[in-house]
Amino acid sequence: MTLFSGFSWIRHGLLLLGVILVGLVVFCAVAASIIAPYSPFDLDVTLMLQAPSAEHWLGTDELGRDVLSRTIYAAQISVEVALVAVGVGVIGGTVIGVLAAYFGGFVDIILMRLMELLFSFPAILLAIVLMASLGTSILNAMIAIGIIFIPGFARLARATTIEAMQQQYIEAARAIGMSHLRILVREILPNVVTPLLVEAAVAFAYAVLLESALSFLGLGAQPPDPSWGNMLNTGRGFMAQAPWLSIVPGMALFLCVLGFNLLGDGLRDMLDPHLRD
Amino acid sequence: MSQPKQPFDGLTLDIKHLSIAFQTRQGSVTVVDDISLNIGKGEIVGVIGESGSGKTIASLAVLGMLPRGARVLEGTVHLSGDSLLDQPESYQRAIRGDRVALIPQDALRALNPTLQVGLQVGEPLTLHRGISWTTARKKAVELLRSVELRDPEQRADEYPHQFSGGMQQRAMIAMGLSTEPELLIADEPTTALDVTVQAQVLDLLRNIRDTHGTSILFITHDLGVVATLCDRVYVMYSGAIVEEGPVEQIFSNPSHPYTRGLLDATPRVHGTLTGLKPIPGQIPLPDARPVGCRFSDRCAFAGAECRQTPPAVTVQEGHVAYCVKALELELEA
Repeated sequence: MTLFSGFSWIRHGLLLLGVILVGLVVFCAVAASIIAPYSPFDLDVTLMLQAPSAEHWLGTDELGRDVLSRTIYAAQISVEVALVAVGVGVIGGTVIGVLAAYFGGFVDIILMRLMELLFSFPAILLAIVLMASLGTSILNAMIAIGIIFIPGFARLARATTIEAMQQQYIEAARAIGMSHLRILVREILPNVVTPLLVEAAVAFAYAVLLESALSFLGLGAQPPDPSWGNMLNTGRGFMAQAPWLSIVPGMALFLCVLGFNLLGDGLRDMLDPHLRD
Repeated sequence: MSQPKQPFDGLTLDIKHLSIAFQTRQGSVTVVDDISLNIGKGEIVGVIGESGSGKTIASLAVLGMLPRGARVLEGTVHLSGDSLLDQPESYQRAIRGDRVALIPQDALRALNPTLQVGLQVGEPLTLHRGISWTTARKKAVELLRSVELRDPEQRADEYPHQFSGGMQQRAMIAMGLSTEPELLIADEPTTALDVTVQAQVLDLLRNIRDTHGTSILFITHDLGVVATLCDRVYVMYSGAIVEEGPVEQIFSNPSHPYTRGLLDATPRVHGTLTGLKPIPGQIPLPDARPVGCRFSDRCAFAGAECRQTPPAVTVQEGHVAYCVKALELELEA
């Protein structure tokens, strides 16, 4: 494959790190029930707020639940939310952006002004407003975060579509009698996919962060379901006695976001012909 | 379907009094002005003109693919008797790529870089004949063989960038031929090719006409290509036809000063370079054409009578020049 010819993991060390971190998070999410040493829900007040030990590697929380197990299970929620939210964003944004670019004129103006309207709100504020109107649940958090992503993907899809449409093969496709839909799907979409893929990796990081923020505020994952966000919120109250309650989910969040960002940046470098030598 | 039909007179393409204008902020600008053009069955007709003479826009009108902002003001276009203008998009879509095929100038850019050539060549068949992809691919191999591409079986699975320029153009022609259209519109198909490859492609087009009876509208600015390939030729200047007639007539007896200018500006094997005479000035913008004959401001023979709309002067049977001095000039030559 030409895309990967001359590719070396050494030159793309940061991409490798990103892949490892993301792989770790995804592995935790998928295999949570196998690798977690305890159930994330088992209460044992006799064990509450224990410091890390051989039995509980990362200690226990205020209800005696194993912090390591809860952190592993929280990855499940984070990955799930990020997947659905980015999916909503990519699909919604692509449809809107491609349609706006392809039909242009009035359609373009209406759709893109709508996107700018969404863009004009700070993301977290918009998420809170959406959550307030949709009600607090993890599903609504996914939808709210997804909606926040739509304008960004729409702009990117629109720009790449406009570029692709100037190609002569689009005119050639019309000249053999292809319908609009067929041209969009067959001729334009393949050009739009690559840049969207890169953007999606970065959006993933942001989705994890937003989900944690919402859960921290009590709007996302509801207790007793573990989420790095609500674990951080609980840990806040025990900062002096049990710092591991905050440090562990904080570190998990940090590594996960770092991983997705490195992956996104690495993909961008790898796929950008200007940065390839 | 109740399509306006005119009695079929054997003409594959019949354009009558076609005018096309672009709507701009400054108002309407006429880019194609009252042109009439026809192509008989199995005829190869050249349309020659400089960039901006309106030849490509006129061909896009036939395909129903005018760019945004362009509008047909008046005139009719008939394909074997069926009206093509003022038809719903679905009707035009059914015609495009089935009964009329376009062979574009730059084949590489007209092929989608992300799709295998075989799939693209067979695509019109899946669109218009409803056949499956597998059958279309098999047909594509045959088509590629018919345009004399070597190893068509293997080539069908390759991507456009693996093809040379001549091979890409052959693939485009194969795609155009797939549905055995009545009319091929070739928009400068050889301009981007080497001279030797160009000759092969012209040969191929002539063969296609001879074997399938396909009519070909050949758009070009290259007089040499017209001379070798076409039966008849229309010379366009600034949106209008200035001279039309059989190729031998036009070349041996150019009766419009512009046609003559074009011939004088074309290098020939036996001529000397000092004999080359460029036409002074440049093609006027559509909104700044001179009154009367639009070539008058560049014409060495222009006089007061050229301020009138030029009459159609029949030089010989089938050879018409739109110049008030056509017969005078002929005598002079």
